[in-house]
Amino acid sequence: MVRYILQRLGQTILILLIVSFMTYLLVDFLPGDPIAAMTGGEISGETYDRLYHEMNMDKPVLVRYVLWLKDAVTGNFGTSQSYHMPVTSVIAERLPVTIYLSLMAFFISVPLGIVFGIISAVRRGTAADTVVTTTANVCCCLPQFWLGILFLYLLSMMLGWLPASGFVWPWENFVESVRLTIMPLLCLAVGGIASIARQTRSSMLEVIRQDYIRTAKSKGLKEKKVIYVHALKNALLPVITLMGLRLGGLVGGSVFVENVFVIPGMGSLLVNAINSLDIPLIQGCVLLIAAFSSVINLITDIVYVIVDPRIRVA
Amino acid sequence: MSHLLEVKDLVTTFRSDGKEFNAIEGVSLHLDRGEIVGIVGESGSGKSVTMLSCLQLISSPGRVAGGDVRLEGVEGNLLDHDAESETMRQVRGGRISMIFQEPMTSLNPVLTVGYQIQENLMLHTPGISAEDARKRTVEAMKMVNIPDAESRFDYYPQQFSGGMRQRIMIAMAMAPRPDILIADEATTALDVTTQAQLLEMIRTIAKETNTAVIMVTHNLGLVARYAERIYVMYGGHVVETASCRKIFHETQHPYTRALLRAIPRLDDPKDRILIPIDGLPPVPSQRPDYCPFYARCEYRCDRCKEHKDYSMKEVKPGHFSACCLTEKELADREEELKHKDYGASPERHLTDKDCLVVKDVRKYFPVYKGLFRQKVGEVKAIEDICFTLKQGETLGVVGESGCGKTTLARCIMRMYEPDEGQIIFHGEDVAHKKDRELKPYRPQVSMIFQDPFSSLDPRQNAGSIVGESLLIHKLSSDRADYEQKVDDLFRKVGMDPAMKDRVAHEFSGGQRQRIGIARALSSNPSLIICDEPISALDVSIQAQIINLLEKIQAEMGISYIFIAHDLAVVKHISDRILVMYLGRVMEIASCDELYENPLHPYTQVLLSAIPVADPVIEEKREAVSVQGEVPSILKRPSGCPFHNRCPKCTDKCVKETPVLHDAGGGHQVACHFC
Amino acid sequence: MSQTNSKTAEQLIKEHKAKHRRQFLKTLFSRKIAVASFVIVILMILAALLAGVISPYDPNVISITERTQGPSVAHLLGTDEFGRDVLSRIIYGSRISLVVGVLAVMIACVIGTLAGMVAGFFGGIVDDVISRIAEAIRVIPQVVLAIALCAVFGGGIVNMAIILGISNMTVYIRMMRSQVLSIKERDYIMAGKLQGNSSARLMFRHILPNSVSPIIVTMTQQIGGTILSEAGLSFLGLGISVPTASWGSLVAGGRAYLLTNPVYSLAPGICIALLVICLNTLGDGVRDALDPRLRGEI
Repeated sequence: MVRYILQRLGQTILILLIVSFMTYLLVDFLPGDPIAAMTGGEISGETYDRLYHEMNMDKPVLVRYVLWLKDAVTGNFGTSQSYHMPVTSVIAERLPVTIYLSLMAFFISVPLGIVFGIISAVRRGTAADTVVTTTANVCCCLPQFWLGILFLYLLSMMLGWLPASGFVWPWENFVESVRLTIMPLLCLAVGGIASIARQTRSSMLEVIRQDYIRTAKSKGLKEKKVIYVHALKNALLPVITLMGLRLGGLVGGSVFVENVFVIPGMGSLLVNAINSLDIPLIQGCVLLIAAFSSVINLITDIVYVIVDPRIRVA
Repeated sequence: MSHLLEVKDLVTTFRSDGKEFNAIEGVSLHLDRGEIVGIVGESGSGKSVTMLSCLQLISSPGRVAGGDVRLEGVEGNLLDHDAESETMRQVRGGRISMIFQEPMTSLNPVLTVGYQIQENLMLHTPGISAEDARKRTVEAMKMVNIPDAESRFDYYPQQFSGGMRQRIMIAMAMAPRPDILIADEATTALDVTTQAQLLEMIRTIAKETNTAVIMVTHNLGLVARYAERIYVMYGGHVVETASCRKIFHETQHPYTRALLRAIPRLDDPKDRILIPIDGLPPVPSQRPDYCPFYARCEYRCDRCKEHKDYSMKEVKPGHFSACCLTEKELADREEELKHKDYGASPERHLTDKDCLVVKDVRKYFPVYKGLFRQKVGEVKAIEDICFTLKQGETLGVVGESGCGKTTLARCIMRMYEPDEGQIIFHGEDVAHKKDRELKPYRPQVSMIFQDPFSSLDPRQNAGSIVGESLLIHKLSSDRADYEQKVDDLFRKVGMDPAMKDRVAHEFSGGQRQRIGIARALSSNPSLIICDEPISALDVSIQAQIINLLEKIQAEMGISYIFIAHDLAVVKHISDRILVMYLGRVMEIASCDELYENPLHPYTQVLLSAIPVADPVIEEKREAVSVQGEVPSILKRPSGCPFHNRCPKCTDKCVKETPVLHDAGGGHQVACHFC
Repeated sequence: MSQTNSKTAEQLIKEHKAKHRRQFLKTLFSRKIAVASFVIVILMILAALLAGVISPYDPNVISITERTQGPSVAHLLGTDEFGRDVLSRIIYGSRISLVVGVLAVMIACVIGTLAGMVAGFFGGIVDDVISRIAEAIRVIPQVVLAIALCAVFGGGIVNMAIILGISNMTVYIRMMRSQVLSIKERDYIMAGKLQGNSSARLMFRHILPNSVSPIIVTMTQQIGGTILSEAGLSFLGLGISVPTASWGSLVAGGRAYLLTNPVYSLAPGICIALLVICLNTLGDGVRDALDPRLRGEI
C-alpha cells in the first residue's frame, strides 16, 4: 500500500516534470519578444542586451528550462509583467476563490448525480428513467458560458433576484456571498450532475449483467438487496474515477463561469495572462492547474485502492 | 409416485430480431431425494436454460412460456409463483441451490467470501443469529476443505484460486442445507485433477446430507462416473433418459449412439476410428417442427419428418427415448451401418528421420516492478525440456494450467527466444537465431490455434487468410497459380473454395478451425503445432477435426506436436505422449505404454482423474487421489515440482530435482523412484 | 458442408453485406430521437452549405440605423450593435462550428490513432514515452490546454482545428493503445507474426482494420465536445476573430445587450446546444449499432 502510493507519487512527479517542460517549450514558441513585452519596447539597445543576457536568452532552451525549474520548485515563477508583482502572489490571491467554487460545485454534484443515476438504472425503461437520461444528455451538451448568460438574464436581469457579478467570501458577508455564488455554482454543478448520473446509470446496468448478480439472485435475495448490496458497491467504483476527473477539471473549467460572472479566480487570470502575453504568469497558471489536477488524480487512485478490494488485496 | 422435483413440458422462449423462438420445447424430468442425475448435451441444447427456468432466473429477452414445475413441500406449480415472491425466493438458495461455470466471475468481488456464504445462510435459516451463522459459515468452509477457514472468512474472492473459489461456491450453495444442488458445468473451467477432487467432494457431501444433485455438463465421461440417471438433451428436447448403465450400454436414441461413436476414450485401442456426426447442431430459431436431429441422423427415414410429436416414449422399463423408430428398425439399421465403410484409420508414414530435437530448453520470464522497472524475480516457465520428434510422428503434450505447454510451443515457433538449450529442426539449431535469419524457418513450421474465434482476422476474407503465407513467402508464381493453390487448400480441408470470399464470422466454429488448418498448411510445412485445436469445439464436431488432422498427416507426412489437456484426445491422435507439470517434463512414453504403465505418480493421478465414458469401466477403475491443487507457477516447490502433492514424497524429492531418464524401452520418466 | 456453387455463394455474400448495412441503419435509426437528430444535423449542414442562399442579409453589412434591435419581421432575431442581422450571422456561424469540429476530430484521430497504435504495438520504451506525454497532456484540463495553445497558434479556422485536435488527441491515444493491446493477444495476430508478416503490415493490415469500429465510435462521440470547445474559445475571444461570425463569439457579443435584445446572445447558444445534443445522440446510436454484442454476432 505505502509502496503503491510512493510509486504513484513518483509517477506524478515525473508527469509534472514533463508538463513543466512542455509548458516551458510552448511558451518559448510564443510569438513576440518577451523583453519587449516586459519593458514596453522603449529601451536602448544596451539595456536590451543586458536584459537579454540576464534572462539567459542567449543560452539553449534546455539550460533555461533547468534554471527556470530551479526557481519554480522553490515557488518562484518570476514576476508577472502585467501585474508587476510576483506570479506566486498573483496566483495566491486568485487560487482560493477557484478552489472554493470548485469544491462547492463538486459536493453538490456528486450526491445528486449518484442518486439520479441509481434512480434511472433501477427504474430502467420507466418514465423516471427517460426523464433523468434525457435531462442528463441535454445538460451535458449545454455550453457553460451560455448557461451562465441565461441565468444572468433570467434571475438577475428579468427577475432581479440575484446580483449579476462579483465575489465575496462567506466570512466577509455571508448573505451576499451566498447570493453571489448561487448562479456560478448552478452552472458548474449542472454538467457534473449530468455526467455523474450518466456514468452511475451505465455502470449499474453493466454490473447487473455480471455473473455474480445471477449468483446473488440464485440465492433468493430480494431484488432491492441484490441492487443495493451486491450491485451498487461494484457500480460506484468507476464513478470514483469520473469524480476525480471532474474535480481535476473544475479548476480549469471555471474559466467560463468566472468570465461571465466576473469572478477573480484562476480562469479569468489565465485568460488575462494569455491576452497580455504575460509569459511567467501563463507558465505559472498552467503548471499550477496541472499540478492540482495531478494531485487530484493521485488522491483518486489512492481512494480507489482503499475502496476496491480487487486492487487492494491482489 | 411423487418426486422431489418434477418438471413437465417446460417451454422457454427467447426473443431475437423481433421473432420469438423456443430455446427449450417441452422438457420433462424428475428428481428424487439423494439422487445424482446428469443432464448432458452440447452447447445450445437447452440444458442450462432448463435449470434456470425452473428457478425463474431467466432474464430478458427470455421468458418461461409454459410448463409445470412441482417441488415437494411447495403448494402448486412453482411457475405460478411470481419470480420475486417470498415462496420463490425461499426455494432459490434455500431448497434448490445452484453452482455456475465461471468461478472467476460468479462471486462478488467487493464482498468477502464469508459475508457471501453467511448471507445465503441467514436468508434461508429462520431465527438464526449472526453469530451462529458465522459459525456455520466457517463449518461450511471447512466442509469443502478450505484450509484456515476461520481466518479466510474475511478474504475476498480474488484471493483464492479458481478451484478454491468453486469450493466456496459449493460451501455457499450447501450451507443452508438445500434439497437439491444444481451444478451447471461447475468444473468445466478447472484443471482435470481439481475437477475430479471437487466432483468427488460434491458426491460425498451429497450422499452424507441426502441432497439430490443435478449435474449439467457436456462431458459424457463425467456423467458416466458420477451420475446415477442421465438425461440426454439435443436441440431443446430431452431425447433419451435412463439409468447411467443403460444409456451407455443399451443406447437407444440415434443421437446418443452417434455421440458415443464420435468421442475418443482413454481406453480406446489405437486403431479405433472416430465416426463424426455430420453437420451442425440446429440454431434454435431454425429448428424444424419434427426431430431436431433429423438432418444429421444416420437412422433417419421418411417417417421421421411426419412424426411431429417429439416427446419421449418408454421403450424399455425405465428407459425413455424420443425416436419414432421401433427397436427393430434401429437394430436393422445398426446392422447396415456396421458394414458401412467409414474408411480405415489412415496409413501413417513414420520415418526414422529426426524432424525436431529439443535439448535442455529453458525459458524464464523476468518480473519487473516499480517505476524504473527493476527486475525483481523470474517466472520459471519451462526448464530442462528434452525430446525428439520424428518426421511424420505425432507427439502429444499434456499438462494442467501453468505446466508450460504454451511457452514450449512458442519457443519452438520462435515467438520467444529460449534462454538456454537447442531447438534443432532438420539438423539446424534455430534456438538463438535472429528474426531475419528465421525467415526460411517460418514457412516450415505452422501452428493451429485453440480458439477458432480469435485465430482468424475478422476483417479479412477466408481466401486471403489462407493465402497470406503464399504471398509473404512468394510461394505462388502468379495470380492464377495463387488462386489455384488457395482452392486446393480449401478442398484439402473439406471446404468448398466458393466460400473463400466470406469473412470469419460467417463460419461455424468447426469451419473456422478448418480454415485455420488450411492456413497452417499453406506454406507446406513439415511440422505443425496444434495448440488445443479442438477443445473449443462441440463434442459432435471434434471428431471431424481429429479425423481431418489424421488424414492430412497421412497424406503429407507432417509431424504434429499436439497440445491438449484432454488426455483421451491426445491418446487417440498421438504416437507418443509427453507429460508436463509446472514447467518440467515428468514422463515421455508411447501412448499405450503410458496408459497401461504410467510410472510417474503425477501421470497416474492425471490418468485416474480423467473419466471414461463407460460406467462399467469406471466402476472398475482404481481412483488415485491427490492432495491440493496445482500451485501457481510463481510458487513452484523446490526439488521435484510435484513433491508437495506426491504420496511417495521423501526428503530426496524435496532437495533434489529428478532428471529425466530412460526406464526401459524409450519410456522416460523424471522420478527418483522409477 | 453445404455444397453451394460459386454464383450463389457470391449472391450470399452480397446479401449478407446488404443485410449488415440494413441492420446497422435499422439499429441506428430504431429510436425516433436518433432520426430527429439525424434530420437536424443534416439541416444544419445544409444551412451551412447554402448560407449564401438562405441568409436574409449579408452577415457583415453594417447598418447604423438598425443598431441593437429586438426581433422584428425584417430581422427575425433582431440586429447586433452594428445593425447586422443576427439570423444571418448565426447561419454563417454554423460553417465555422462544423468545419472546425470535423477538422479537429480528424486531426486528433489521425495523430492519436497512429501514436496509440505504435505505443501499443511496440510497447517498452516507445510506449513509455508516448504514454507519459499523453498523460502529461491529459493532466492539463482541456480548456486550459486549448487556451494556452491559442496563445501560441493564434486564432483562425485552421489554427483552431489544430489546437482542438492536439488537445483532444489523448483520447484516441488511450483508446487505440488499449485496443491494440487487446488485439495483439488474439491468435490471428500471432498467426500473422508466425507467417513472417512485417510489423508495419501487421499494424496496417490486421490491427487497424479491426479497430475501425472503436475509432468511428470515438470520433462520433468526440465531435460534439469539440464543437463545444471551439464555441468556448470563441466566447473568450481567443478563437475565431471578428468580424467573422462564430456562434461562441456571437454569444459573447450579445452579452452587453441582454436587456435590449436577449435573443442576440441566447439564440446562438441554443444552436450550439442543439447541434451538440444531436451529434451526441447520433454518436450513441452509432455506438449501439456498431456494438457487435447488440447485433447478435460473435
